Amino acid sequence: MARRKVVDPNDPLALARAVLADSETLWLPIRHLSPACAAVVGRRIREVRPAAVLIEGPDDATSLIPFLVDPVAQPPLAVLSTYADLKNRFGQNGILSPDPRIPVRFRSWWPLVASAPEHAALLAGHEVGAELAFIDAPLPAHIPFEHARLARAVQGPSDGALAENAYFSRLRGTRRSFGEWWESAFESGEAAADPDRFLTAVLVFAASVRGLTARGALDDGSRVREAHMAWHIAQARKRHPGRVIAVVTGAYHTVALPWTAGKRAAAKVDRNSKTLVCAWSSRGLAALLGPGAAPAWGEAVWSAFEAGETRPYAHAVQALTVVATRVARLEGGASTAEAVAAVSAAESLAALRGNREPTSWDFAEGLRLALRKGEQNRAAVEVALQAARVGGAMGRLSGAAGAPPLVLAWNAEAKDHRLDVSGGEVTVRLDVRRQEAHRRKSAFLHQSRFLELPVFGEPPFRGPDPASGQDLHLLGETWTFRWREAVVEHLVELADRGPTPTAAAESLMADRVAEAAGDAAATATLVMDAARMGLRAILPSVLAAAEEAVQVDPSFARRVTALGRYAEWHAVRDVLPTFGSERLAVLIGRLYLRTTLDVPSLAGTHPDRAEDAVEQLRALLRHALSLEADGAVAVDRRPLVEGLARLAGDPTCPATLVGAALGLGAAVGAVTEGQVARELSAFARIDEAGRFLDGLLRTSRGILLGGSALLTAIDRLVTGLEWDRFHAMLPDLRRAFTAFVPAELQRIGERVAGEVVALPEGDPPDDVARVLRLAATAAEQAALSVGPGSR
Amino acid sequence: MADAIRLPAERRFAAELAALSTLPGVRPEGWRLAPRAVAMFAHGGQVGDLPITRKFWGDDALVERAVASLASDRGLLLIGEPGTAKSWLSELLAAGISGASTLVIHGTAGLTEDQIKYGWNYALLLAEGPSPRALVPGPLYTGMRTGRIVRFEEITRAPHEVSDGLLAALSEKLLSVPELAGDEGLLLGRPGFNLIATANTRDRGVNEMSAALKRRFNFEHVQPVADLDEEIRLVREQITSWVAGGPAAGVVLGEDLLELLVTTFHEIRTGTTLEGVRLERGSATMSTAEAVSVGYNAALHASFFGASVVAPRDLVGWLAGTVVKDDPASAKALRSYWEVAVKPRASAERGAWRAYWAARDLLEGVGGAPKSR
Ligand SMILES: Nc1ncnc2c1ncn2[C@@H]1O[C@H](COP(=O)(O)OP(=O)(O)O)[C@@H](O)[C@H]1O
Ligand SMILES: [Mg+2]
Repeated sequence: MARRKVVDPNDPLALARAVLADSETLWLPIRHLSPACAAVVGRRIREVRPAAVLIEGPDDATSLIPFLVDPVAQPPLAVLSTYADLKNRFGQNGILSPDPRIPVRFRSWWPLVASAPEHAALLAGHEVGAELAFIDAPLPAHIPFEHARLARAVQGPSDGALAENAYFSRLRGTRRSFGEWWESAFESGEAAADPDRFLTAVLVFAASVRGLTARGALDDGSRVREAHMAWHIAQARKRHPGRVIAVVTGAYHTVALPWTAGKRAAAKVDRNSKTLVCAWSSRGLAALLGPGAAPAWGEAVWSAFEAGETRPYAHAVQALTVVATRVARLEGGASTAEAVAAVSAAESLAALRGNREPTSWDFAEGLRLALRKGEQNRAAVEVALQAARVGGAMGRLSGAAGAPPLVLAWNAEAKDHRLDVSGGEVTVRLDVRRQEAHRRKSAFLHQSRFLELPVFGEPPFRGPDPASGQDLHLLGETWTFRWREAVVEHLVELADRGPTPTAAAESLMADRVAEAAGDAAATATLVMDAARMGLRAILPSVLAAAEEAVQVDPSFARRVTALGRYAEWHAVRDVLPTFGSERLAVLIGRLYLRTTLDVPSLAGTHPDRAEDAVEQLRALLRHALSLEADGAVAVDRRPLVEGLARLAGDPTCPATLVGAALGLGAAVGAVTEGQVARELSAFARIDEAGRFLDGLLRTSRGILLGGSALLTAIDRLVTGLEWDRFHAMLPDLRRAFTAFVPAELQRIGERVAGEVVALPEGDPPDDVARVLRLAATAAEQAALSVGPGSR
Repeated sequence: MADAIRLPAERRFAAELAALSTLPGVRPEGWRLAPRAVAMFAHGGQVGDLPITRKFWGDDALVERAVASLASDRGLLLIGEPGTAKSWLSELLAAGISGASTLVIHGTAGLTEDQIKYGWNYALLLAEGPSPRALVPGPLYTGMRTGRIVRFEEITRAPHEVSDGLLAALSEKLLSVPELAGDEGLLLGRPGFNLIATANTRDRGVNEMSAALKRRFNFEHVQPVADLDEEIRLVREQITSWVAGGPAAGVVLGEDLLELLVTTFHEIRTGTTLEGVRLERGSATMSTAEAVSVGYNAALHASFFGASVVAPRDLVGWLAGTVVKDDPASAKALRSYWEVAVKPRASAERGAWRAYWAARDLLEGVGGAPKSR
C-alpha cells in the first residue's frame, strides 16, 4: 500500500472523490476510443499543465512518441507491437497457429485516432510542454492474459473487465452490449460541459465494478501491469518533484493505481519482439475492431466537441447520415427526405431509450429504419451504413518515423521495377519467357500477391497459370497493378516476417508448407508458387514436403489433382525458373507410379462415390498421355492400362467403375468391343447394365458410334428384359445416353427404335420401344436446351 | 361481450394499460401513452407493483424501433414470414398508442377503396344528397378523424391502385371527400393518426409496391424467435392460455414434450440441429405459431380420448397432419429430420426422444409416398 490515505473500497463515491482530490496526480480515467473521454482528457491537461503525461501504452514505444506528436503527423496512427514466438514461449504454437511448427505471431495494436483519449493526451501534453511517456508493460506481459486467454493472435483495445462483470450485467437493462450501454450512460454533451461530474461518474462505475470483482479475477494480468505502471509513475515523480503528473489509463486501472505499489514487470522484450509506430487508416481500425465498429462516428463526435457544439452526438448523426445517403444507391436515390427521416428516427429512438443524445446504435437503427425497403435494398443500405461508420481517414507520419525495413524494401523494389506508386491502375505486360528483367519483376509481383498486398486489380493477373491450369497457352503475363495507401499498413503487419519481400514471402511459405504437410495437391501448388516467386532458398524444403506428400497422401483424388498440376507446370517449365526441375521430374514419375498402382484398389469405392472415381480415372489417363507425349518424364501408359484391366476384372467393383475402366481401356485401344459386349450381358444378369453403360459411355463415347456389335448387344439386352426390370434400369440408361450430342443420339435412337419396332407384336415390347424412344428424345431435348449450336 | 372468444388487446390488458398511462415521458400528440410505455406494453416490464407481461417475444430493440417509427410521420411496415407475430405486434402497438386496435383493413385481392376510406348509405344519399350523415366511414377515415392508429393487414395482397390510395393520407395527412362541399370535403388527419401495415415475405409483393408508397413507410423485418429457450417459454405460455378453460383443460403437455416440439420446429426452421448438423429444409414455414397450434391440437386430441397426458406419439401425428399437409418436400424434410436429428438422440437414450423416434411410422405415407426409384 502506497502512502495514500486508505479508502473503503466498498464506497465507490468516496473512492472516486479521493482519486480526484489527489493534489500530486491528475488521474484521468478513460474508456479506450471514447470521444467524451478524449474531450475531457484534453481539456483537463490544458488546464492543469502537468509536468508529465503518462499514458497506458507499451513502454517500449516511448522513444517513438516524438513521431506521433510531430506537426506533420496526422491520425489515425497506431502503435504496433509484434512478437514472433519462435521458441513457443507462450505455448500457443499449434493452438493459435495452424500447426505446432508454425510460430504464432502475436500482435497488439494501440490505436491513436483523433477521438482516442490517448491521442488527445499526447497532443495536449505536447502543447503544454510536458514529458510524455507510455507506462504499460510491453507486449510479452499481455500475451498470457489477452491473446492466449481470448484465443486471438491479434488484439486491439478492449473493455476487458470493465465490460465483463456482474455489476454491468445488473445495469445494462435492455442494452445489447457494453458499448451501447456506455454510450447512453457516458457519451453526452455533459462530458465537456462539466468534466468533474463526468470523471466522478466514470470513476464511481469503475470502482463499483472493481469492488465486485473477485480477487482471483485480478490475476488476469491487471496486477502485474498495474504494478508496472505504478513503478513508472514513481519514477516520473522522482524526475518531477513537487509537480503535478497526469496519468491517463483505463478507468478500471485508475481506481486501483493510487494504492498500488510499483514493481517492474518481469516479462521483458527480447529480440523476437518489435514495437513500431505507423500511419494507419480508419479502415484498418474498423477491421481490427470487427463488425459494427464505427471509427468515423468517433471522429465526427470529436470534431463536434472541438467545435464547441452543445449536442456533438446529434451532430455526428447528421454528418454520417449525409454520408450514408450519398453512398446509398437506393431506388430513386436517397433524397433529403430520406436523410431527414433517418435523423428523426435516430432522435426518436434516443428519446424512447432515455438517451440524452443519440448513440451510434440509435443512428444505425434509425438509418436502417428510414432507408430499408424490404430485402431488395438491404445490401445497399448496409454498404452505405458501413461506409458512413468506417469513413476514409488516412493517417500520416513523417518520413523519418522509421518505417520498418520491409516497407522500405518493398517500396524500393517497386521503384526498381518502375511500378507506379501514385495510385493509378496500370497494366503491366511481361515477357517472362525471354526477358530476365521481366522474370524478376514477375517474381516480385507474385510475391506481392502471395503476401496478399492490396495492390492489384481484379483479376490480378493473366498468364500461364499452372496452379489453376488456366491460360497455359499465353506467352506472357499481364498484371493489373494499382497501388493503394493501405499497402503500407499491410506491410507493417508483415514487418516481423522479414526485412525484404523475398524474406517475408519465404517466412509465409514456411507456414504454408507446414499447413499443407501430407497433402499432395496443396504442396504441388506451393512448389509452383515458390518457383514463380523465385524463392530459391526455401524451394528445396518445399520440394521435400511435396515429395513426402506424394508418399504419404492416402487420397487418390488429391494425388490425381497434384499430378495434373505438375503435368501442367511441366508443360510450361521454360517459363519458370528452371532450378529444381530434375528433382521435380523424378517426383512426377514417382507420383504417377504410386497413383497408378492404386487404381485396382478403387474397386472398393462405394457405388455412390463411383462417379467421382470415374472423373479421377479420366483425369489420370489424360495426364498420363500428356506427360508421355512430353517425353521428359518417365511416364508410360502400360502400368495404367494394366491397372484398369485389374480394376475391371475385380468382381467387387461397382458397375459404373467397371464400365469406366473398360471405356478408358477402349479409348487407348487396349479393350475390344467384344469384351465390352460380354461384360454388358454379365451385368444385365444382375440388373446393373444401366450403370455399367453409364460408366462406359462417360469415358468412351466412340465405342457406340463406331461398330455395331455393342449396339446390338444393348438392343438384345433391352428387348430381352421383362417390363419391370427394364423400367427399373431406365433412369441409369437415360443418364448414360446424356453423354451424346443430339445428332449422335438421334442416330442411335433411330437405330434402336427401328430394331425394336421390328419385334413381334404385344403390349410390353411396344411399350419398350416407346419408352426407349422417349428416353432418347428426352436426352436429346435436354442437350438441345443447353448445348450451343446444335439443331 | 366479456365472453367473446378473443378480446382485443386493449380490453384484455386494460389494467396494464391503465398502469402504463401513469408512466412519465413526453407523449407524442394524440398518444395515450409515452413511447417507452408503449414499448413496455409489448416487451414487458414492471410498473409499481404491477408486472407488465411480455407479449411479444424476441428483439426488444425491434419493438423500440417500431414505436419510434410510429412517432414520426411515416407509417410502419412489418415484414416477415407467416406466423412471426406481425399482426399480434401491430395489435399491441395500436392498443398501446391509441387505446384501440380494431381499426383494421384486410388486404385482399377484392379490396376496394370505399372499404378503406368511406362509402355511402345509399338510402340517405338518395334522400338527402351527399351529406356527412350519409357518409359511412371506413377504418382510414375513422383513424384520421379520431387520431388513431389504423392497421392494414397483408397490404401487399391488396390491389395496387387501392393501396396507392393511401398516399395522400400518409404524406399530407388529409383525405378529400369530393362529394361533400366546403370544409366537409376535406378531412384533416388528427395527430395520433398513423398506419401500421403488415406484409408476408412469402407473398413476394413488397418489391412490387409502388416506390411512392414504399417511401411513406419505415420497414421493419420481424424474425422468428431466435433463442430456443425463449421460444419454448413463449409456446408454453400460449398453449397454457389456449388450453385454460377449454375442453383440454387439465391435459398435461410435459416440459420434455414441449422441448421436443419446439426443438423440432426451431431446428428445421434454422436448417441446422443444435449440434450444428445441416438439415434438409422443406417449404413449410415451421413458425412458432404453428408449433403452438400443434401442441394445442395434440392436447385437445388427448382430451377427446380421455387421456390426461400428451404422448410423443400424439405430437408426431399432428406434426405429420398439420405441418406436412400434402407437400412431399416437407414430408421428406421431416423424415430426414427423424433420421438425422431424432435417431442419434434416441439412441443416446435422451428421455422422450426415444418415444419420439419410435413413432416415426406415423411419418410414412404422408405427403405422398416416396418414389420407388
Ligand atoms: N415473437 C412472438 N411473440 C409472441 N407471440 C408469437 C411470436 N411469434 C409467434 N407468436 C405466436 O404466433 C401467433 C400468430 O402470430 P400472427 O401475428 O398471426 O403472425 P403473422 O401476422 O406474422 O403471420 C401469435 O398470436 C403468437 O401466438
Ligand atoms: Mg398476420
